[in-house]
Amino acid sequence: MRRLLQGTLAFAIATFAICASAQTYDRIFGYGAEAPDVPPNDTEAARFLTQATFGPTRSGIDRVRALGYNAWLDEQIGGTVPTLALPHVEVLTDSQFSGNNSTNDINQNRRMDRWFHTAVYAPDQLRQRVAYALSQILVVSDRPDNLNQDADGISNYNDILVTQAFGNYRLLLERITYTPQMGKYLSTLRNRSAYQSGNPANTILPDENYAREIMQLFSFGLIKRNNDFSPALLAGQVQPTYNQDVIVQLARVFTGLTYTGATTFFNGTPQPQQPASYQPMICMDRIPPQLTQDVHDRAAKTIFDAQVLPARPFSAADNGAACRADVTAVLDLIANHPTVGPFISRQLIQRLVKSNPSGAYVQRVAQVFNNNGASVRGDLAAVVRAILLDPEARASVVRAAGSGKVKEPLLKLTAFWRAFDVVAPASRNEPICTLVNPTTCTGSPVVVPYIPMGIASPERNYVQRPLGAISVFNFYEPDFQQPGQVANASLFSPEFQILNEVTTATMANDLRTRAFSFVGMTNPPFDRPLIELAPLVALATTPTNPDALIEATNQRLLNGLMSAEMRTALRGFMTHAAITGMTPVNRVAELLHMVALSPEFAVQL
Amino acid sequence: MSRQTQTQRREFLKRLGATVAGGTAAAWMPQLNLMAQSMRATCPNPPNYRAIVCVYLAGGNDAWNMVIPTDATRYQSYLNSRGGVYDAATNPAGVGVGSAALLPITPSNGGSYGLHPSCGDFTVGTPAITVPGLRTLFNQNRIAVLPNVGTLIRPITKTEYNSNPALRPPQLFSHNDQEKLWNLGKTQLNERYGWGGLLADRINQCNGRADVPACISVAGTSLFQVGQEVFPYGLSTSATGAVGLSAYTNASPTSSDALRRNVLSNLLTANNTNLLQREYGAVTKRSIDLFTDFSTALQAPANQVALARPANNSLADQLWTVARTIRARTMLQQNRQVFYVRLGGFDTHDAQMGANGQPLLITRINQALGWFYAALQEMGMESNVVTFTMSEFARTLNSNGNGTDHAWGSLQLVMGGNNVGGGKIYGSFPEASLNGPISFSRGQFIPDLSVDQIGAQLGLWMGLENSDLAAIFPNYANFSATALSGLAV
Repeated sequence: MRRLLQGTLAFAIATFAICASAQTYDRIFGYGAEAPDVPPNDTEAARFLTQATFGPTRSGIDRVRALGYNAWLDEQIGGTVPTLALPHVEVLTDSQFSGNNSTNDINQNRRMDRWFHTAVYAPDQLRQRVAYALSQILVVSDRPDNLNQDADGISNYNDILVTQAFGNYRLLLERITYTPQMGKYLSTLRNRSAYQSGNPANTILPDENYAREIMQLFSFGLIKRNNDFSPALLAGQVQPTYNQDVIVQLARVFTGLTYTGATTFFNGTPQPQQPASYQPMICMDRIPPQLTQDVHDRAAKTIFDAQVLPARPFSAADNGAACRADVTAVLDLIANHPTVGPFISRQLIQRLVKSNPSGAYVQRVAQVFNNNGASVRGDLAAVVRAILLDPEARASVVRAAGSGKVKEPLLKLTAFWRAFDVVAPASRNEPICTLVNPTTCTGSPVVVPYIPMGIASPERNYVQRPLGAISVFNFYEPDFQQPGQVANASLFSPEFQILNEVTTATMANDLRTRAFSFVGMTNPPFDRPLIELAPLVALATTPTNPDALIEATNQRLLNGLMSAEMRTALRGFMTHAAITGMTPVNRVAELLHMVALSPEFAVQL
Repeated sequence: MSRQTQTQRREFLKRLGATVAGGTAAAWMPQLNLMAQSMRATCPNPPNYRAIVCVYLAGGNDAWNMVIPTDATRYQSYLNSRGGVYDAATNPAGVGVGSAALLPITPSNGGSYGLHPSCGDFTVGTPAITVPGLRTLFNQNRIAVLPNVGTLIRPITKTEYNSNPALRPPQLFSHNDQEKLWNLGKTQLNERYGWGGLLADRINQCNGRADVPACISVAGTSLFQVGQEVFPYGLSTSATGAVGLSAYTNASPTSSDALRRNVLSNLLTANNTNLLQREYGAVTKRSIDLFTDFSTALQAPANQVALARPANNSLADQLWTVARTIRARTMLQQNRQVFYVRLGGFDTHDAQMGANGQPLLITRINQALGWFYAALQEMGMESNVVTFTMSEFARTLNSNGNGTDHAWGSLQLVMGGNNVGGGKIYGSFPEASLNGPISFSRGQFIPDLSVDQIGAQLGLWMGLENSDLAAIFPNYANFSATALSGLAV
């Protein structure tokens, strides 16, 4: 009876919602009648935005309260233009490139500026947040030598994740497979079928890098799992998804890929600023123009679960058909593996909502991955909706031992900035040469603006670097368990893998700088954003009564969840003579920093 | 049991000592039995200082190019399986090193070998000082070579490998899993304690201060150093080693820093229900609490290393922090320490043989270890420290076109003074072969020695009893206890 009434109420809300639709009705019923569509208060709205954006803002809270979760998601998924990095970055990269290689200074700094600006200001917050989560699963990084000057290419990779964030997993897998940045990162670029080389002659076999990581990290992982992420046992035993033989066979598939401009397979290496550097790789079966030497392995291959890719003929009329057919077939098989749903869903939940989702939660989301309701598999928009609307995500805050997640270090910074309406600096100008000739730089300099965000090397203080992880295993692993009380409780805590006595301090110190970088400061820097503290300063007029100020900080940084214990400690802090004697804005900054260091800010519940 | 500081835990256990002995406490807290036993170890009296330093080479080091047999037959086998000597123009797919460039070493137990050309002496500082590299150190008996070490449940033949998958360690060839097994010293992936941490659990009582962690990492949290009681403590490569919270470090109790510190400490130790919040608080609190002592110790003039460091060498920078910490052992009241440092970039699927590939990696190892040994000599502690490499696996002998892929048994180095039986090769140096008696089709080798055996030798040297070994290395009984005799004395 109660369920029926709640369902009726939910239906009523859905009917009267601004963007009501039959799908909304289905969604509410589908994910449990307990989850309301409209946030009941600011705290719940802020919690939702903590999961779905780079940090809650006043206007964001107002928007989601006005629209309700479903309509807010509709607006983010279907009604907001994606913010891209490449168009912005490549103009700047062009300006940095000159025909004389020794003076090239192409670095990733402008990409970093763009990434942080997008994270803080872009309206398509959910899309960007999901793209960032995907970048931690389908990892490519600008750290290796062959990618650290490839700002255009890494930006293009970023944009692939952005444009496919609400697209389809299978298509996403295809796009990243063909991007030359993945080709360089996991060494499929110019990978060849077996050939003889050396003196004495040796059989050179295909590189196994991508074959391994596309299975271990990008799709289904090491063992077969049920939809609830539990291991799928056979006679009580864990079942590996593949073995070394499969790796060797799969490596033969990813052979024959080369740059789009190649005419002989080995040539065509583009300059970093040329579009060919990021255009999809092409397949070749044999080396042109003679077409007598194989570079793609066209023989039959047996991969995981004893699935066989047939032998394929060579056709001079379409020198690449076999390679494309093999790659297509393998990506189909990988994307259709039953373990992909839980493997990917669980990680997306860990990136957005909580480190220890229940098996039931993972299962509900994995089922949506498997079938979005319209018989489509791998619908990422549906998966993201399922994650955010699930009762386990929307249940009012639970202060249980294992709830929530440690916030990623960079998301603490973006949340801090957004909470205080950080003001971007004025744009600066990068001189650009009009490229008359692709290898020289002539013509009158034209200025190209960019907005500096003053954080070119975020990894220094935050360990994380967007699309810049130390290895293909990302900044941290999904199964990391912080030693001690967390591991003893059998909890997973990925983000703790990069939190230790050093990094908590370097982050804390950077956040202090941010707290004291505010509009109206003496000698303000012009190369970084400044937080706007005026509304809080207005609450700090009475040093001996900090309650309004503390409450405002609670709302902005802690989603209104500050504990009584913490409030008491902060009141004692703010009313101490050392603090009351400071100017109002400095008092505010001191408080912000203290809260930013607190466990209650460090963990999202 | 809720988390307590080590001091509190020791007091707690002392108070329960009688009850444990009587057996009654163990009935309702069975882990107490284990912990009481875990505290047992011999601390020498008068105390002497011993430390092990784990140098983790991340990505799978192609160590077959670090130490190369130079007798005609085996060198030719090496070249055959590596596709010949690499030459950018004439043999870009080869991954072999030319014999003329190798640096000869003369192991005391026979055989003819050469080290990679990047293992020579080098200079640091202005005016330049020559520092012995690995080749000189080996010939001075400071380096032991362990040619074919890897993860094993028990010794296994190729026939057994092929016929009985259950005998293989789990998830061979996977980076993170093999790194985990090297850290664990066991072959169950769901185990939680690394052998360095379990070792530290047992020898920690030899240290004078319970609040200073026995396990120190300059490269983040590694499972290697996680014990049941001892957890890794992080330091950085900065001048202070520990990183202080700016505006929170002034020790004067009347300073604003002290006020901030007190308020923050309240927040960090609050009685939060959520374990992630509690743990974040604990890590940050440890950072604040130990900052003054560590930064004072690591900045003290007496604890500096005079020898200039090699430039652009993150491994040397990390070992600089280790060296200063060892110099500060009296200040920190430490007698038994486990250190962890790490260098990345070894997953050379691509561009292995170019100047920025393997030669640069080996140069960094050579200079970092050479510098570290000289730094230990400066303080007279070279015979009190064992430095050893670990890496998740070796790499395929043969090439994939411009690099190598994942393999298994690999070559590791152990460095020390009189405390290490250096200048020799331990175990059997496998003849390079593809699909040979103990190798697979791409020259991946079945290990001859296991991680357990290295760990056991170093653990015994640090003060473990033989009876401790089975608890830390459950498979240890499967291996020869004497194969590495004399490695650490």
